[in-house]
Amino acid sequence: MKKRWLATGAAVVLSTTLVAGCGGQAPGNAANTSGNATAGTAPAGQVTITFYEAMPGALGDELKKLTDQFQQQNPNIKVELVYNGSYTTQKQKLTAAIAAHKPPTLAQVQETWETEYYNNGLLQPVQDLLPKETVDDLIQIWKDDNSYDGKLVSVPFNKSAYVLFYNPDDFAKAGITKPPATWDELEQDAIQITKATGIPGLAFQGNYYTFEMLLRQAGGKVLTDDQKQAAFGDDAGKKALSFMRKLVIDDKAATAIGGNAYLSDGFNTHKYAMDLDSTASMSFIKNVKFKVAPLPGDVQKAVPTAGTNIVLFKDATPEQQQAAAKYLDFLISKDNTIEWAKATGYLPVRKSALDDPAWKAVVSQNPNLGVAPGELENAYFSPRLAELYSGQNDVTTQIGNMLAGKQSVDDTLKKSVDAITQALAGK
Amino acid sequence: MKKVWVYLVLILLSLFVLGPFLWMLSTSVKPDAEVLSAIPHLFPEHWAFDNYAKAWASAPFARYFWNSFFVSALETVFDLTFGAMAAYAFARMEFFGKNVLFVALLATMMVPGEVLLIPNYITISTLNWLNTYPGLIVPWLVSVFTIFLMRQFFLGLPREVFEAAELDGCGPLRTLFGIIMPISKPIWITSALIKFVGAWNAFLWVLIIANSSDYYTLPVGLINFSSDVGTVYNQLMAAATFSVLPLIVLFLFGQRYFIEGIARSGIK
Amino acid sequence: MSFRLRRSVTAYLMLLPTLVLIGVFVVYPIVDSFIISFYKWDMLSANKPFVGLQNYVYIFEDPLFHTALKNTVLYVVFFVPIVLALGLLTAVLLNAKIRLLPLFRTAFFIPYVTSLAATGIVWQWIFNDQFGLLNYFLERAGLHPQDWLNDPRWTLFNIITIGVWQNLGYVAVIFLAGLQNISREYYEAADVDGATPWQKFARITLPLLSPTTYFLLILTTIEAFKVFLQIYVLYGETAGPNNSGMTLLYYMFTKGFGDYRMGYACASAYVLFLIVFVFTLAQMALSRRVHYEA
Repeated sequence: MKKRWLATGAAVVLSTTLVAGCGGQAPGNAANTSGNATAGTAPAGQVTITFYEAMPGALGDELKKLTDQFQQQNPNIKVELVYNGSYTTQKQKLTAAIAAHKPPTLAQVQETWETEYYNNGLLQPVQDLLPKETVDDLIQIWKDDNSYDGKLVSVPFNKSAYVLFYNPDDFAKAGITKPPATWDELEQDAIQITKATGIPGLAFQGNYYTFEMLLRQAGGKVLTDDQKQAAFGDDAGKKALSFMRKLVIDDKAATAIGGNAYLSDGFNTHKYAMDLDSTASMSFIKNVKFKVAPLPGDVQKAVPTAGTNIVLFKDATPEQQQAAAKYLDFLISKDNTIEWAKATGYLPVRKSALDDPAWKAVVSQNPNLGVAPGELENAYFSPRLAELYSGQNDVTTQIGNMLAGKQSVDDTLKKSVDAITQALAGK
Repeated sequence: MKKVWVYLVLILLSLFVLGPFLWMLSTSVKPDAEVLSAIPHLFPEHWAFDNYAKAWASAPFARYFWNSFFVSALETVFDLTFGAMAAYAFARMEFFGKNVLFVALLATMMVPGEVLLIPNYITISTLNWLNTYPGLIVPWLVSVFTIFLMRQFFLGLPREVFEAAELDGCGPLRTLFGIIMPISKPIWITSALIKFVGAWNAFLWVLIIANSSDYYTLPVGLINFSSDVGTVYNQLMAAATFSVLPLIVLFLFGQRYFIEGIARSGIK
Repeated sequence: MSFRLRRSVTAYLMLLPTLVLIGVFVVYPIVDSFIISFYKWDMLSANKPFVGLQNYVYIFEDPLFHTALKNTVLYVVFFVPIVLALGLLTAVLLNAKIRLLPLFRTAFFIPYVTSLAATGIVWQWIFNDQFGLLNYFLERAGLHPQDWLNDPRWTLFNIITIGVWQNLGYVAVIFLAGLQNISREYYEAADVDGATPWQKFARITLPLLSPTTYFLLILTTIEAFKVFLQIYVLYGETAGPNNSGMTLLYYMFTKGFGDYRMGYACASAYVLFLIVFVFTLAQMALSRRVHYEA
């Protein structure tokens, strides 16, 4: 979640209302319309579902294409796609809609908000609405990511994983023959490239998420298993921070990007030779030759994931729920998840898709697309707790101070642990 | 000789204010490969005017233009009408609680607009106005700033104008719209410009109230070019350029009145 | 019905549309969020316990809120005088009977009408440490490039620059209107007395312009306290390195939107409102010294 310019005012939320009492009670306003004003005018037997989505430009076009196909196959179901811009504005609009008791039928969400909605009893789990073979066929990490209390609550849709992007020309100049697989190799390669080309060998986001990735690779974890306490004030935490600091300050072989920039922009304009970024950014790299490789690991491999899931709101009528389930099953059918991945750079979400000849053909044509699915066994998702938000921002601040040379690793670690502890206690 | 300095400083200041805008224009005609070049070029090596065509085609911009125009125009007309009525009352009428009411109105300007968003969404939803023009428009039909500007202007008008009208037996509405408004052109053009610009650039409200491109306005169209992992800069800049063009034209023609309007409101 | 009562009724009829609309869409939400500031609420659930002043106690003990307060006040203290001074300079220059005046005026007004959606990105490029315009020119001039966006020491400078850039034209145009209100006779009389341009400016222009200055002072101060958007846009949805761009409105945004803590958000909104209100009252007290004989 970098860099979302628009979205402004979102302070939005600041206020609110007697929400509890006032929405949905207006005269002539049937309860449970699911934000779906047109439902009433549809012919008998026709079901309309609304889907709040945040897929801009070409991604949105692809979603429209799939949706049109679905509607042709199911003439009695009308899917209203409601485009809401960035994830941030999507979240604002959803918050307002929920506060007014008029959520859509379906919505793309990130995990932290999904948890909030789930804990507030707003969501209808999809486990029993989807065919069993669909549920069983989901790739394990996505299944875990979408499950709460052992039940599949939502459906993975535009999912991505982090990989190592590299510029093969720079590798050649530095005499590197294969991409790094360990921290040591990563560091040495970065140093070598910096020497050979004059540009930083590596770039990464100087934020909480990069820290969490390195922490896990070093064998640590962010929270205790009960998610009540910070658990990274140990050697692994120290190792992760030290590695960042060493790359940037001692080796001068890496550059840390702030929240104001996309990694892909710098890579695209050849400001550095390697970066650690989401597969979804591939479509924005047009100017330089690039290849991707699995993320290097340390004690173990650990691969961050990103993207959104689709949730179904409880307010939907039984007919809408059935129709929505049918639509979701269509979006992530084997053929369509392949089609989606091919068109967008996101990853297929079903196991069977990865073995399918159609996907293999896609990968043989564009080998870069085949890398991330191969590392999904090492994938993880960040703790799905909304209350961590300001704590994570604090950790990013501390890391910024450390990388600016203003703060030792030990201080940074201690302050970061405090920040997360405080965030967990604050709720 | 003195004039030279005036021009020199003005040109320097203009560079400051126009710089980012020129860079926006320049980016809008650059091909992908030149957008983020290490050495900044104001003029592209290869001109890519098709960014405009591509940007235009990437969303139903014709519809967005119409919506922006319709919503902004309607808000402006109502704002002027209601604002003039209120300003007339504050400037020329005696009534119970006048000063308290005026100060209270001014105080609402100090509240950040973001505070209003969610409660108003719920109100609009209760009225069943989600995804409709009334939902987009009605909450913004009155602005305190317009009332304030017009009141100041009316206070500056000669007393005799009002008295003559009242002697002829005109009611306040007749006086206001038949006599006062025609001689107050500068101030209502000024208020209209400010209101129109605000309505034209409104983003978040439109986004949360509208549920389909039937009701989206231009700023919502601009978010089509940016995703979580990257932005199509040249097309975004092209779309931003054609979105702001009408406002620039409007200001070019309206500025004469704009300055006169503010001048004569006295701002006291 | 007495004459006075009838006049009051007529006046209220004239005010009716305003009162209804402002009442429903402004006053009601304000009262409503005031109530929320005494509750613990996440916006999503029906569960909303009353917590009294706890939210206010929390924000006053929160170091981040102190940062926000400090940054906001610093912004106001620098932004307001700078934008007023530059705006006045621009207005005086534009008032000097120059060629192409409409074009210049339009140029100054362009930032005010252009959406920050696009120009925010341009500013990111200008300040970018690696390929930014600013560093490019600094290097050409033989000066040290700076890490404008990642060094917290520059944050205030950056957001003031963008704030001034956006509002300069607006302020200048209003000053220009004020200047055109000053009767030529004063200057002609001064010319007869052989006054220098600077004397004319200090003895005639400045005092007679003070109503305009006062109006702009109040207006820009109110807006400055609500600074948020340019930070949000420039720093990609963060409050800048080391929270150096954390302002009161940004704090509200983080608490309400990021953390789903509406009570804190509303409480901080009220603290912000109160501060602006007190500031404005103080400025109004100051206004007694304003000259009105323009």
